[in-house]
Amino acid sequence: MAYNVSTEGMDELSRTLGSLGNAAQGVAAAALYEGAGMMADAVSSGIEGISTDLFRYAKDGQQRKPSPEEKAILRGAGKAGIAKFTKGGTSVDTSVGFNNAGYAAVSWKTRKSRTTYEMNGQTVKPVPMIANAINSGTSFMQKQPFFRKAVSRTQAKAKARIESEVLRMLEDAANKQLNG
Amino acid sequence: MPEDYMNLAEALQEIGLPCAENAWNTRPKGSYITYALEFEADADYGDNLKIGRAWEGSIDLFATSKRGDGYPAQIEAALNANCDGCWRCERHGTWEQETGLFHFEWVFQVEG
Repeated sequence: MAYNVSTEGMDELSRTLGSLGNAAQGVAAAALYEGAGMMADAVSSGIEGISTDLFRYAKDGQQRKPSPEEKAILRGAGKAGIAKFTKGGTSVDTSVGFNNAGYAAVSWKTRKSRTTYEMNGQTVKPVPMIANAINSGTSFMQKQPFFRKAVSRTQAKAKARIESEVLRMLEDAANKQLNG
Repeated sequence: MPEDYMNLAEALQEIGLPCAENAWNTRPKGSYITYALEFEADADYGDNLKIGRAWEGSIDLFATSKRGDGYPAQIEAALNANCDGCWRCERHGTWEQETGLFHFEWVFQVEG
């Protein structure tokens, strides 16, 4: 489950950022942090909106809703928020989501499968797998696209926020140079 | 309901796959499809009014074979005909160990 949001059409800004030298990555990272923060907030709101039902095993072709326990796992993992920033040659990247959320203990017993493990006597499942099953649905889990909804509704606002932050910081830098 | 979505739904029905209308109650045997218009993804405003909006929805195919029994090509043809190119394949043949089904998912946006 990965959605890419990238800002384009910022050629002029990129040239100006390039002229800042080493400070450019700092400006880009600070602006990106603002945009990623908006996205993380939207995902957190999406998690709160997940509809749950008491856990039951989906038998005989039935589907089930996520259990409150699964929702709580996502809520806890969502607090991890924004991943570490990766700085490349001319880019700064980050990710919002559950990629680094690891495993979470679940109280119900499932038959041994490629996604369920025993760890310290407890059944654990990968958190990204739980998020994926709820977001995209399975043949036995009701689909609730909380993550896709957050990305679709927020990406335009996040891009605008990133651009406005870059402009604001460039103005600050220019004012400092003029006054300094 | 957006007209493009109604046309898409008709095109999907013509494929002839069983459709799990109440997917949370029972699922048909063999390959089947579910589709829904899910939420308003974006909107345009003018003069303090909403003048246009994009609806987002998804199509899920649960197939018994890795290649989707030939249905993915038909579904993508229906999307091409009705969604003005605003669609993407989100997953292509994710295997569910518990049921042995392969999950395909497409996300589309229509104007309405």
